Amino acid sequence: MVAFDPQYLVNGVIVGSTIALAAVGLTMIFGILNFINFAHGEYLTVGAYAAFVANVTLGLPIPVALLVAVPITAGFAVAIDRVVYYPLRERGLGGVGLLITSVGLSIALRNTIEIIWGSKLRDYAVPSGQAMTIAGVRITALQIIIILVAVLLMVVVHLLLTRTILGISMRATSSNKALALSSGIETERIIRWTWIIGISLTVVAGVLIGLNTSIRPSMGFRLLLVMFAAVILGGIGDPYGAMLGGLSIGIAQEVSVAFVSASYKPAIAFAIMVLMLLWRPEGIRGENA
Amino acid sequence: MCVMTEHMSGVDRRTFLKSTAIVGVGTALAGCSGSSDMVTIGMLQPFTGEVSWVGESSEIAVEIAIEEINEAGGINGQEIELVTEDSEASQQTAVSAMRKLINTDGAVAIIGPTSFTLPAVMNIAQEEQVPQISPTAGTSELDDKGGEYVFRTSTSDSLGGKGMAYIADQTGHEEMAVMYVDNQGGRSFGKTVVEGFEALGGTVTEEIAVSPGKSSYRSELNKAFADDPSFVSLTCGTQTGKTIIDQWYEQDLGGVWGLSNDMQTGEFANQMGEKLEGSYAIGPLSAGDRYEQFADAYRAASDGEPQPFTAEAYDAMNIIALAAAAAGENTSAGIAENLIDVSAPDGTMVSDFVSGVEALDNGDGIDYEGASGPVNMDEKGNVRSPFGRYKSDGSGWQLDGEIAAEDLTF
Amino acid sequence: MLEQLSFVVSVATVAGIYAILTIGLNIHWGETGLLNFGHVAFFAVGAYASALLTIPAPAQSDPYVFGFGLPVAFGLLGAAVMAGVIAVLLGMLTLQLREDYLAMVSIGLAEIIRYVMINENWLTGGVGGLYGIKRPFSDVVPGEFYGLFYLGIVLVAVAGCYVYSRRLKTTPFGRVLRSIREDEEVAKALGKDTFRYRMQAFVVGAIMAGLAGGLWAHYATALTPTAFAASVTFLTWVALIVGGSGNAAGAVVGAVLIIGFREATRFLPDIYGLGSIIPSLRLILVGLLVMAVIRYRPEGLVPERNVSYAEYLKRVGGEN
Repeated sequence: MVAFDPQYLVNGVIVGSTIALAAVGLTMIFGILNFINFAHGEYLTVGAYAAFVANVTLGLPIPVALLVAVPITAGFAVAIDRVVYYPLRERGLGGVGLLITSVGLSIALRNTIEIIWGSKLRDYAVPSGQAMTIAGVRITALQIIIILVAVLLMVVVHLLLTRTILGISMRATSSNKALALSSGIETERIIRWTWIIGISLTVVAGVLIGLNTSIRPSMGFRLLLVMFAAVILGGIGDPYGAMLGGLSIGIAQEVSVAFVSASYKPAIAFAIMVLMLLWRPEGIRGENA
Repeated sequence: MCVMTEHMSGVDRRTFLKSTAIVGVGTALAGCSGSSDMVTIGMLQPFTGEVSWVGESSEIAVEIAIEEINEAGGINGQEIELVTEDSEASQQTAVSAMRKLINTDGAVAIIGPTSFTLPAVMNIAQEEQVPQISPTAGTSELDDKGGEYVFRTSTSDSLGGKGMAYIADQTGHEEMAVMYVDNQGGRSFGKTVVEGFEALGGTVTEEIAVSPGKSSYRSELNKAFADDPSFVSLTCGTQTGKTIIDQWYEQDLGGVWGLSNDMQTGEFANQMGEKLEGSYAIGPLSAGDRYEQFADAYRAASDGEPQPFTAEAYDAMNIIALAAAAAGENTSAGIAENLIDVSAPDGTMVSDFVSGVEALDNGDGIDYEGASGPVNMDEKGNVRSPFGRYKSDGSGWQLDGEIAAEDLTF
Repeated sequence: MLEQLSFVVSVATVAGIYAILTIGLNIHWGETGLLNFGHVAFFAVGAYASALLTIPAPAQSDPYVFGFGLPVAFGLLGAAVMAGVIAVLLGMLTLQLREDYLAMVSIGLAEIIRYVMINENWLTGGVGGLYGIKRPFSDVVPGEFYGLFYLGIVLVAVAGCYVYSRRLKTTPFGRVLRSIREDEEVAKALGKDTFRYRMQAFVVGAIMAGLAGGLWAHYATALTPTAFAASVTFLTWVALIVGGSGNAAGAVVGAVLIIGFREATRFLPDIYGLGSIIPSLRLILVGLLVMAVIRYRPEGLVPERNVSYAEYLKRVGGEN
């Protein structure tokens, strides 16, 4: 490896943008609810499979399938929250109790999906194109679309957070709940919207990942720690940090293949997360929101 | 969806413990059946998790064999009953599952498990003196450890790996890259390919261990093909293999593949279609008709194509039954003593249970040749079979050449 | 009869090993409030240490480098020591972190350790693993009784950890840990070097996990990295919460219940048609069990004495 091959970088950007999307969704939810939800990965999986049913079983084109999957999964997430977590919050339980519950929920959900669809890899019904070579790197049309969609959504999120009242309220609530409450912001409504937006982003990420590769029942769970790593890297509750974190981890993972044994690749995300927590626990962007 | 209802909030601790205990003991006692006109065979495989297809498909294959045997009157007058347990591909689980099969269910022989859990349960087989045959474990770790109670009908990777190197050499390639998953099966095969190819005078340009089940291997592929090898050996199973080959094709990287035997199925070749056209795979030298017969039965029983290792599972059940028949009794000791004999290449060649029993009744020794190949076990419980070199024509694997065991002594 | 018992003995042995793991985790979380999600790392270190100390020197064909052939007692001792050493190293890096950050770092570190075990063949034998680990007194105790004998060893270890843990609560050291758990700032204000106390608790819990690892190694007689996945940590946490954190009895009860429940579900009758999904169903039942316990009896089965329900909920709640 004499000169550095930019292909690794491009691969990293593709993977990283999907991680970034998922991480933004997670950080929003994490920032508001303040517990580590181990079942979060399952929302990504459910979203990917909902789109699969729409696309492959019902024959709808992918963009439509995506639009269908989002509300279905969001509804599912809200229902789960109501049935499983809300009663626990009412009793004053938080933190660890919710975390352990989410572990149980994650096991139950993942295996239910496995019962219904089996553990084999499934693909969306999209034509598999061949890569074009642009400026010495190989990339397919689909991958370009994936990056564009991810970037577009991140821009939308940015606009939401800075230009709309809802978005500004979300940032306020996330950085200081008590203050937000006292200044008249209806936190319950904000929380609900945070859930919806967060889950929607997660679902899109799941479908994009499925488009870039395949879907399987454990896809969300496998990505969970990477998502958390991205969130921590960027600073909990900070959407911009999550975008940066997701991209960085994606790139770091792919580029690492050039230098260390590829079988260490999954450990790269953890190593980054650990180093970050030791060096600068508040995240790359520091105390910000 | 919740197990308990709202009314039970604040369940008393004693009640909770009591009910769990009752459920546990009650069903445990229910599990201890075992009638005297049945003989129990145990199967320990993963039925959940990433490789759940292994358990599911081998169960179908073994049930086919059992039906044939039972229809012919069973072994030594007893019909076979199969009890399965999920190893969850987890060692702790496999250990207790193995003990349940042997001690609670009274299995006289065990089929399975996979390389993931075999190391942890091997000593139980030795301790309890119950023979176990794995139809899938290729790890070369097992090469010198079996023969008394641990056997396998799948070929060792130390042979398979050499076979792959031989294929690359025979098809005119001087440089190759080697990719494998970093688990027991992948590593033992991959390393042997590297050694073998170098022994034949070739150059290995890159050796890459990949993490299984990832969604993107584009960077690994980039590294593997950096020096433009014309041949790449791949050991990774169909799930990971599909992703790797899909992305290789998409990236238009060139070269041909040499796939390991667990990817040498008609279904995989068909699924990958033109992407695999011109690539090679190593596989057991198909016992031709015998395999087709089994494949037909499999298709009828399951609505799908035979998965990797199902023929090996079918054969494992058959030789267990034949070993018991040869011993004249359905005991672990009898089976263990005769497994190697009924499979070794001396004696009347038989390819199914019924003719095997006939020959034994006539006082002849037998040599079982099965659906997965000649199934000749050596004194370490390994099978040494000739291999076939297969080439994909875009929809299936076609036999392209044969590799005898003698060809691989380098 | 001994035959039928063998399965139960085997389950009990695994439950006992998990009980030791859980008691150790209880010292981390229940006594000191440390959210350690990397517990399996100590288990793994202990297992490999004991194995490497007791297996014979490697042959030419073996990829690993160490093998000292020492007696099992040394192996177990080494397991405890190595786990403690690793705990000191990890503790120095992480114990000053906020509680939920500690959770994430510990998962990350445990995973990194697992990847090291997979890749560094010279140390651990890599994915091929280590085989032929000897069992203590296997030539002295007759075959049919060996299972019971080993269970006896494990039970002695469980008892030892249990007694130690209970004693700990009543010592001044234990009381300081409690106060750190309740409110670290107050403890600091009272002049206690909270870092040192947390470190000591961390090491003690890790030593127990290491011991459990050693016991596992000699029970399974073969080790591969697949035995040390994160699911071991999660199962231990589930056992602790279900059994009741804050006391060793809860830890033991939880471990026995979770392992027992998981094994008992093997006997679910194979209702026609349902057969192929029973394995997944068993796991779903474990998940539901966890959720049910947290919902209907969050203090666990063996609640901590002298702690009111409201206080417990607050503690389990973190900052809510």
